[in-house]
Amino acid sequence: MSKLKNIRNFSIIAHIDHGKTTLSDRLLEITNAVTKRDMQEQLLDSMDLERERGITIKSHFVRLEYKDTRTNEDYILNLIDTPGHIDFTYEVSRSLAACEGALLVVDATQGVEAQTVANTYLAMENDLTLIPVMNKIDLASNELEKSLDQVETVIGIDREEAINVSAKTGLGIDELIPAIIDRIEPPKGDIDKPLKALIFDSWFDEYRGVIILVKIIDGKINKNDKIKFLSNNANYDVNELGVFKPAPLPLKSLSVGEVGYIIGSIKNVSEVKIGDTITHLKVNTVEPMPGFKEPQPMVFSGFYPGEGSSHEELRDSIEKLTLNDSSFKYEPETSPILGIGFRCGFLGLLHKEIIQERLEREYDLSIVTTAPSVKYRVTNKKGEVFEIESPAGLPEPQQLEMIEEPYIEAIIITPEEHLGNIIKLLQNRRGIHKKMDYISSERVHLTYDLPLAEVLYDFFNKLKSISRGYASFDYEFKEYVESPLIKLDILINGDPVDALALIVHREKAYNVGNLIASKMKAVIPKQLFEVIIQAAIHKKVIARTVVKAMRKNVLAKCYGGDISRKMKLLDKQKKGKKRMKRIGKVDIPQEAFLAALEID
Amino acid sequence: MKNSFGLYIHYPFCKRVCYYCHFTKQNFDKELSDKYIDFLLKELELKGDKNKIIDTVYFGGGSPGLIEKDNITEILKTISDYYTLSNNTEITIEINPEDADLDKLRFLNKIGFNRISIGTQSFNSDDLKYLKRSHSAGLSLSVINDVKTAGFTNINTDFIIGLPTQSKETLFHGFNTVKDLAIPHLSVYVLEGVKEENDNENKLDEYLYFQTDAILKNLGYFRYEVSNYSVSNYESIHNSKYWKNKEYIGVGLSASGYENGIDYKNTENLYEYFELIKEKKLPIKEKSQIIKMDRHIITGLRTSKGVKINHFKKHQETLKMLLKEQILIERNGYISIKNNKILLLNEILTYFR
Ligand SMILES: Nc1nc2c(ncn2[C@@H]2O[C@H](COP(=O)(O)OP(=O)(O)O)[C@@H](O)[C@H]2O)c(=O)[nH]1
Ligand code: SF4
Repeated sequence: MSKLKNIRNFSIIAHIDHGKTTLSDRLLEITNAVTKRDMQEQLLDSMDLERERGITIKSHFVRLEYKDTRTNEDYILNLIDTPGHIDFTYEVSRSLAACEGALLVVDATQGVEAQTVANTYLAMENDLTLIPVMNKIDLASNELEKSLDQVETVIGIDREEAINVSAKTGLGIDELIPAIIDRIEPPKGDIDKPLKALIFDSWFDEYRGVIILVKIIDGKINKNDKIKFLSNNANYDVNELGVFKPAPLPLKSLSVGEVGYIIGSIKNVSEVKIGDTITHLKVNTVEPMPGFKEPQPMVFSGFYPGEGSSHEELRDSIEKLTLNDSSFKYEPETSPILGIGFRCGFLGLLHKEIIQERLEREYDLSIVTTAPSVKYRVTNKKGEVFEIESPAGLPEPQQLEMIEEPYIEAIIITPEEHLGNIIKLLQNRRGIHKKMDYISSERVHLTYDLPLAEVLYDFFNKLKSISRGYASFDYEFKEYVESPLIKLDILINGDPVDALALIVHREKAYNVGNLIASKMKAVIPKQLFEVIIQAAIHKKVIARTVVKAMRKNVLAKCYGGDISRKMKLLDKQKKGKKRMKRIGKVDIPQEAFLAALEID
Repeated sequence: MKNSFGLYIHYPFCKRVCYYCHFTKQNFDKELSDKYIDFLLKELELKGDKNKIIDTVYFGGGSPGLIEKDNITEILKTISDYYTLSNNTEITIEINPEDADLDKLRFLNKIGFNRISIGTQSFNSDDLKYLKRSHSAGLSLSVINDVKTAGFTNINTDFIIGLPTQSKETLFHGFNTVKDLAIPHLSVYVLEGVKEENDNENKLDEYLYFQTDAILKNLGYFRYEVSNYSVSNYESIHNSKYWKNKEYIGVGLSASGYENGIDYKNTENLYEYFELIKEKKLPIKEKSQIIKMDRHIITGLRTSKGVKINHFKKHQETLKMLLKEQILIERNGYISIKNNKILLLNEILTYFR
C-alpha cells in the first residue's frame, strides 16, 4: 500500500499535435515503464484507427513509478490519458475528474489554440492544478516568448510557472516530474472509511470482457470483494484488479488515492455508468459522488445496410460497437426508401466517421449513411413541442408553427492575416459575432454563436483551408434558437427520397438545391437506367439534373471458358457498388447521400 | 451414360504479339516452344483419364497454327492415348492467315481437325493497319480458299469491331464477303481495353455492334451468343459448352477447366508451369466453386436462348424489375437479354452477384 502523499494523479491536455503522445512516451521512458525499443509504437494510442488518425479515442492510464532523488522517496504517478479531439470533450472531462492536476502542453511554435483554451476551461471546472508545458523548444521556429505571453493573457497563468521542454529530444523533461510532485496535490481521502470509488472509464475488451477504471476516493478494494454500484444497486464480484504499467499488472488490492482497473462479473458496458460510485456490497453509508452528465449526442445520421450487407449484420455489429463506446446511441429507423436501418447519435462528425469506419473495417460491412443532421425542436400549430433528428420527421408546412435549432458557442483562434476570410465564412454560416480579443499582437481569439447545423457541412475543412491550417476551432453547445428553416426534398426519378431530404435556411434553399443536384450528378455513376435528380421545396422543383443511362459494359470475349475470371471481374464491379444503395431501380452511391456536406 | 468433356489445349506463342490482345501469349521462340510442347504432353499424361470421353477438342492460343506438324501429331496421339475420344469429335484449331499454307492445312485436315477458326479480323486494309496486323485482306481471302481446298467446311472467321476506321459500309463489305465465301460461322469481338472509355467511343461501339447484328441477320447469320454468329447447325459445339455449363478440361498455360462443379485455372506463368509439371503436379493455380444457379445465369445470359427461369429463384425481385424495365425478356420459360441491351451484359450480370 502506498501512502497518499506519495501518489500523484494527472493528465496531459493539449491541442491536437502539440505533443501529448510524445510527451507521454518520454515520461514512460524516464520512469522506465518501457524501454526505448518499445517506444517505436506510441503506446498509449492502441487501436489501429486511433493510430491512423493520430488521435486517442478511449481514455487509458498508466502507472509510473519514480524515485525522487532529492528525498529518496518513492512516488506513484498515475498518468491518465485523455482524447484529443473536440468531439470527445465529454470523455476528457470525466478523465480529469480522476486527477488532481494536469500538464497543459502548448506547442511553442504554434502558441495557444482553441482546444488549449477549451481544455483549460475543463480543467478549471475540475479544480485541477495546471502546469503549463511549452513544447518543441528544440525547433528554431519556436516562438516561446509569444506563446508565454498567450499563456498569461488567455490562460491566466504566470510565465514563471511554465516548464520549457522538447518532448522529442528530452530537453527539459528532467524538471517535469519534480514539478508534478511539488505542485500537484496528492489525492485526499481516508483509508479507514468504507470503500468509495469513482468509475471514470470503461470499455469492452474482446478477451477480458468489461474493464472499468476507478479512482479510490476512500477505503480499499480487494480482489474477490463483493461490490455494488450506487446508481442501480447492481452487485458484482471483483475477479481481478490491478494497474497498467502500461501492461496490465494484477494486484491484491487498490487503496485510497490509487487509480486502477477492475474486471468483475459485468456482462455489458451498458450496465456501467461513467461517474457512478462503487462501494462494498454490505455498506449503506456511502454517499454517491456527484455524477457526470450523460454525453449528449449532437449529430445524427441514418445508417443503412449497403449492397451486400443485411440489416441483421448491421444490427449485430452496432450492438457490439456500443459495448465499448457508450457515447454512441442508436435506435431503429425505417425509411420507405432505404429500408430498415438505424438512427444513430454521435458526439460530433469525427465520432460519426470513426464509428462508420469501424463498422466497415472491423465488421466488414457495407453501409450507407445519410447526411448528418442536428436535433431540431419543432412546435406545431396545436402547440405541441417535439424533437426531430432527421428531416423526414418535419411536419407539413401548414401544421408547422416554428422550428428551433441548436446553436453553439465557437472559439476560434487565428493569426490576424486570415481574420477577414474567417469572418466572411462565419457570416456565411449564419454566425453571430460575440467577442474578439487580441491574445498577442497578431493572434486573435474570436467567439461566435453558430448554428450547429452549419458546422456539420464542411466547416472544419473550410476553416483550415482559408487559414492555411493556422486557425483552430472548438465549440460547446449553447442554446436552441428559432430559425426560418424549411425542408428541401430531393427526388430520384420522380420519387422523393426521405433519406436525402435536408433542413436548410430559407434564404439558402435555392442555392443549396442547385448545388446538390449538380454534385449528385457528378457522383452518381452511369447505370442501366437514366437517373433524374430533382431538388424541390413544397413540391415545387427548383433544380434538375440527369445522369444518362450507360451505353456499354460488356466483356464480349469469354476467355477460353475462364468463368472464374469473369466472376472475379463481376465481383470487382460489384465491390464498387458496396457503398451504394439501390433506390427503386437505380444505385445511389454513398457520396450522393453526403453531397450536401460538400457544397458551399 | 458417362459425361462427355470438351478439351481445351492452349499454345501461348505468337509470331508477333498484338497490342490489343488479352490472352496469355508471348513472342515465338523455337527452343521455348519445343520445351513447352514437351511439358504440355506431360501435363496430358498426368491429367489424362481413359474413363473420360472427349467429344470436342479446341486448340487455342496464342497461335496454335505455329505448332509444327509432328508436334501436333504427337499431341493428338497423346490425347487419344490418355482420354477416350468419341466418334465424331469436333476438333478445332485457331490459325492466323500468316501462319497457314495449303500443305499445313491439308495435313491438319488429314490428321483429324474438322473445324478451323481463322484470325482474319477484317477485310479492310485500314482496319488491319489500325490493328497493326501483319497480314493483308488478300492473304485472308487466299487462305480461306486454301482452307476449303484442304477439305474444311466448318469454318469460323474472327472479326474485331469498334475501330475508328470502321463504318456501316466497311462492315457490310466485310460480312458480305464472308457470306459470299459461304463461311458458316463468325466471331465478332468489340475491341476492348484499348480506347478510352468515353461516351463517344461507347457510342461508336454501340453503333457498330448493332450494325453488325443487323447486317449479319440480313445475311442469314443467327447470333447465338454475345459475340458468335452462325448459320443453323454450325454453332461451335466446344464454345457452347462454356455457356451451357457443360464440363471441359483445360490443358496448357493459363487454360481453364470446369469439372465436377469446380472451375479451375492453370498458372499463367510459363516457368511456374514447367516447375510444377517437373514435380509431377498439375499446374493448377486456382480453383473455385461457383454456385450452380449463379453460374447458369452468368454464362447463360450470354446466349440468345437464355437461362431457364427456375435458375433465378434467388433473384425473384431483381428479375421482376429487369423484366418490367424491358432489360430482360422471357420466352418459353427462358430468360434472355433483350437484343438492344446486349452491350450492357456485364452491368446486368452485376445485378445477380
Ligand atoms: N521537433 C519536435 N517535434 C515534436 C515534439 N513533440 C512532438 N513533436 C512532433 O509533433 C507531432 C505531434 O506530436 P504528438 O505527440 O503525436 O501530438 P498529440 O496529437 O498531441 O499526441 C509528431 O510528429 C511529433 O513527432 C518536440 O518537442 N519537438
Ligand atoms: S495473334 Fe492472336 S493470340 Fe497472338 S497476340 Fe495477336 S490476337 Fe493475341
